[in-house]
Amino acid sequence: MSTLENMREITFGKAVNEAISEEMRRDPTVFMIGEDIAEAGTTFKVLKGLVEEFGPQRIIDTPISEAGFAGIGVGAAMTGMRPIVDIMFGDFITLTMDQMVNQAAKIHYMSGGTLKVPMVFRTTLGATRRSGAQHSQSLHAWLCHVPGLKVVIPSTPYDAKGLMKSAIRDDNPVVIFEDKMLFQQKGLVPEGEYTLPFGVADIKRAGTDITLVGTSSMVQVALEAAEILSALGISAEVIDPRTLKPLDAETLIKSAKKTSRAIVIDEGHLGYGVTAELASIIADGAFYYLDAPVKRLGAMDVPVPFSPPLEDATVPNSEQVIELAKTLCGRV
Amino acid sequence: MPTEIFMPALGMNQEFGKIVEWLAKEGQTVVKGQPVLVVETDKATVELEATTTGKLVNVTARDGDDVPVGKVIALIVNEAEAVPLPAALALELETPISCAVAVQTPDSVSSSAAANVKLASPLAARIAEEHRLDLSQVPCTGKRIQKEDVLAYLAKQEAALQTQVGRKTASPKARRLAREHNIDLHGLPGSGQGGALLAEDIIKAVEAHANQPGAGMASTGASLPVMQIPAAAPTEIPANHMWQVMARRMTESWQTIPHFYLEAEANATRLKAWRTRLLDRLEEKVSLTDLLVKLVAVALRRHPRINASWVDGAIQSNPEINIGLAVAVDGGLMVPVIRNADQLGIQALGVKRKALVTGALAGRLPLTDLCGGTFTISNLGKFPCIDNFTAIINPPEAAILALGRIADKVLAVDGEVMVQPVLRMTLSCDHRVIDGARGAEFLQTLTELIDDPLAILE
Repeated sequence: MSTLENMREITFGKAVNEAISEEMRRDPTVFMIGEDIAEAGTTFKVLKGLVEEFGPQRIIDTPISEAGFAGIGVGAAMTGMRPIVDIMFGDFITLTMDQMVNQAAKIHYMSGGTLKVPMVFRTTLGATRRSGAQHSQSLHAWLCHVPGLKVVIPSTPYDAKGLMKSAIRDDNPVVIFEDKMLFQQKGLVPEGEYTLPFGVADIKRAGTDITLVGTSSMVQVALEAAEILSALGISAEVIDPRTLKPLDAETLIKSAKKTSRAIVIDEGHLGYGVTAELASIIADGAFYYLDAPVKRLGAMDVPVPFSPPLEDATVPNSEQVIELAKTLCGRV
Repeated sequence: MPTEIFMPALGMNQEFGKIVEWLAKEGQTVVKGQPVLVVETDKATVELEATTTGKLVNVTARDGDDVPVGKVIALIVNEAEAVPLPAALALELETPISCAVAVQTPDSVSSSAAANVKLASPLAARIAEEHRLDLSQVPCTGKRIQKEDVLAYLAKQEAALQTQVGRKTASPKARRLAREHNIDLHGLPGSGQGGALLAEDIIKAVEAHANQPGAGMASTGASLPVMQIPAAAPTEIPANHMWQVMARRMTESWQTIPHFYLEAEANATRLKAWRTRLLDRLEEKVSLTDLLVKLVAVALRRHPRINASWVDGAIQSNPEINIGLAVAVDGGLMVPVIRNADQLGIQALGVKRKALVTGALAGRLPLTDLCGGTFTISNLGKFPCIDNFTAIINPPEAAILALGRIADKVLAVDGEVMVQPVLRMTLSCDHRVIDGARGAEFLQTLTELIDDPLAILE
């Protein structure tokens, strides 16, 4: 495990870059395929330097052809490689859905276990980048609905690196959603080797009065709210599931049992979203310990507006969390 | 704008106040400055005055209710203003006037020639439509059906649904706790939304139950045969708010403060002589207590360590010498405080003490006279049988002085046997602030001052 001595502060993007570089050095079957990932190092510059080290045979730029290169990835995985398919914006999974849902997720099952698909789909989520309705969605809930896929949703540089390495080594198709607004966020990351297990939630802040479950960038929103709530005498516990499939339901339920109240915050649309699933799991598992209904905060059920003030208004923020928490704690 | 009347915070750490009595009734017109209700807090009974002139409405708490600090308990409205009653309440209080409703289509308007047909406002109509309400069922209180009418109707329907289901609203946790503690939810007051019972309501009920004598036996009694001894049921003596506060504070003091005791006796001959002289000289009658307060104040000035507090792991020396006097009153115990007792002359001390004791007995002391004590004197000297006793420290003070009676005793004075008046006393000390030697030094000074009151001039 890491010690404080070898910790450095690096960005989320750099942590992802390190994870992929380390795994590519470690395992020659790992390669990447996607749009603008080689010379450009992706739109977000996260993969900068990879093509220089590993060459264009392992960092493969493709034409605009998501369905095609996703299929190449699935085929390569079935035949012994460990591809990382880079889908520039999470919005574009509309084009790769067949490969993800009907191929990657099903083949191990349908082949009676004789074939496996050890691949990673790496893509983004998150609004407030002024990118318009077709480049700002958080569609991770769609893939959580498909048995056979694992869904990973890191919130910190430390988690991003450890989870990416685990994803690459996993023998199943894993979809990683990185919030494009988090790439510049800095955090402590140990130098060198470590992996983080799937299905283990992380308690980002301990508390006793209310549980705030946040995912991806909403973890930061929850932490900001918890800080202000603590000044109001409300002790909030912030939990980051880190992986939605598999999900660490036990930690969520245990925390809600302890605090008697819970709010789930996720940047996907509220309706039929991740928050609904998590809230339902908490309400079910902690029912006799709850002193208030489990509440949810998600993106408004509208296309993400291009106008910055309108766009900002569609995403949950810490003020909303604080108000809701105060209400649940009987403090308004 | 209506003016809110809310439960005031009259003391630090006060969470609840009890409504002793409403002096003005709902609907009555009150004048600015007129006492509206009497509130009892940890420290005192206080009259709340109207801050404006108007009609008293929306009284939501009754006599005897414990109300959280800050909660609005009534409104004073300008007579001209509409009364902003909560929708549900409005329905209960006013007899709804049913009125026919014309849906706003050309047909029905033209067909209903009757003059008393009334319309609904567009907003009311929209809300009704959203809730799939038949507008003709909604009673209206004005010329046409307003939003308030629809909301009131919806609230009433909701309430009716609950009654129909016959289920008290309670959180799942509250329900589980009630089951585990075998408590009936009905009749318990709920602090949640719409009066829903929350976990803390159940915990309060459990605690209240546990405090009843004999409670606890029943819940642990399982199947063991219990010998039934016929006996008269114990009578419960209602403990008022003041008594509850005393019980809580004394328990806290006894459980958290490491007490130790120092006993002393002083020759009261000169003290009594002093008083006799003062009775001749001063217009106001002074008591032995007044003289002892003075002497204690002087001793405290010489030993500031006794006039201190233990606060968050540190000793805090109090800049003022404020002496509290324990006074037994009807409902319990009160400790009015003589501020800066070291700076008052004997006569002023006597006047102040009398005013405070009278106020305490009447239960009408302002809070300022009950706060800020730094040392307390408890005097049971008027009981001829009490030679000496020990007292429990009144936090956050560090010491309390218990005074017994002054009684004649056989003493050896300058090699001769004499009978002289002797005062016995016990100092209870908080060992976190005061050690044995420091306590003894203070008591030594005090004893010497009683032996020879002139020494206050030194």
